[in-house]
Amino acid sequence: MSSPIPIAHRDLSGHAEENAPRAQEIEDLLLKLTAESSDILGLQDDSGDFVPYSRETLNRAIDFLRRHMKFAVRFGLEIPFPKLLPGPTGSIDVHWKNEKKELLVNIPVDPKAPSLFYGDDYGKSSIKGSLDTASVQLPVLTWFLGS
Amino acid sequence: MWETEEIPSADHIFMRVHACFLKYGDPVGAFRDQGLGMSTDWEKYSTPQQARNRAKKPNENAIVKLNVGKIRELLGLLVEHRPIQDNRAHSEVVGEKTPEIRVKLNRLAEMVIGLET
Repeated sequence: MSSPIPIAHRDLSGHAEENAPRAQEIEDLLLKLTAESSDILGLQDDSGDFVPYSRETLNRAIDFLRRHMKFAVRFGLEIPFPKLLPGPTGSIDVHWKNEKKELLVNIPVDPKAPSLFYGDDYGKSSIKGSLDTASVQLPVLTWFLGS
Repeated sequence: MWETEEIPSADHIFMRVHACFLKYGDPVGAFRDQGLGMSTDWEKYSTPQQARNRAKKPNENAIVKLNVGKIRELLGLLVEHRPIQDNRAHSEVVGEKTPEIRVKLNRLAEMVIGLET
């Protein structure tokens, strides 16, 4: 289960200094995740068509995650901290999940290929499509609000 | 060679999930095509243990069980019996494994053999 980020004060003005403790907390989590996810590069399954994970794809996933979590903290958006998972055929999955919602963003091996995503609330509400991982995707972040 | 049969929707299929997909969280990455479809074994001709033993390294694999009817009806995928020379149970789940499909396959999957500790 992903760890929720407790945010005591929602600062919609985006004043970074007011969220400094949270920003540091997120930075610590990002550093920990970056260090722990490096061993994804050494994974190997026993199928005949396994595609190894590359540093380049992993870095794009980390950059995507870092960009979104920092934006969320800056604007006081209360969203879970995601996990990085080994995806299919060398891709990396960014996986947000809590008891109310789940969202999966796939970071493909090809940096020019669109990143496909899907999320739902285990019920009637869902979101899916493709996105550009090089910029902050507000629909992805705001979809978690109101959980 | 084995004759191809229609898999009833009430039946289940077994799929191997390698340890590398279980190490970091939900094994959504394990639900992917290997060739024309996602490789599984039909319960009519395989036990979960037999499905596990077909792996190159069985002790590195868990086994999950999926209901065929739910895969067809809820996800709109095909589940086809495609026996091969040394595996009469071999079956494939055919259809694009988008993030939506992988999330939902993961929810349908029931672990029947876990990893050895």
